[in-house]
Amino acid sequence: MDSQSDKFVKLISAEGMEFFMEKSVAIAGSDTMKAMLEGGFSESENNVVRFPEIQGPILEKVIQYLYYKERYRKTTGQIPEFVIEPEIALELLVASNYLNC
Amino acid sequence: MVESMYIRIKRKNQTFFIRTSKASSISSIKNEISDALSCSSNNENVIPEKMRLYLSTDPSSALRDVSTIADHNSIKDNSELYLVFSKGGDAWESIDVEALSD
Repeated sequence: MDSQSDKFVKLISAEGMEFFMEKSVAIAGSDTMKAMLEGGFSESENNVVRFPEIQGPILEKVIQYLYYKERYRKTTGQIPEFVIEPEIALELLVASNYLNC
Repeated sequence: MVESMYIRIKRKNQTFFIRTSKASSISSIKNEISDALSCSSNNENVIPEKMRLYLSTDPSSALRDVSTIADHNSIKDNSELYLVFSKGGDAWESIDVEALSD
């Protein structure tokens, strides 16, 4: 009866906000996430990864980017711009550097 | 070519990123949410029957299970929907989402 989904992962931000996303999108989009989810690091206890240094709004933007990246992965030619609000750009840069995405 | 999109569903301090398409039913979205919750043993497993999805924070905007994404013009890629759980019997949580600081 105890079936744990392997399709989704839960990401937890600094303030404890929980974000559920598809594992495949996380792994495809970020080498760091891939390593965390597949490598048995202590950051990931089966399908849960904590980001104590990334705030909720930033983490949400990162996940939106990972879905955007996956969506247009195979598209050649013009793709819509991924808009980044200037107020979060700096924190987003730090997060994306850490996540390598 | 499959038109894939994702929607963000919010409840309290939780956000669910669900990939879907225009033809998907609200019922299938609830199944995905249930699946997501089961990925971690720290979250209660909630079945679709105990979920209600809303188009906006207006309580009259509840979405019917049999309807599809296409039935609601305002749902687009990256749209935000709202989720509440049943409290048992006929009681439902009120729409309550932790606001992300601007």
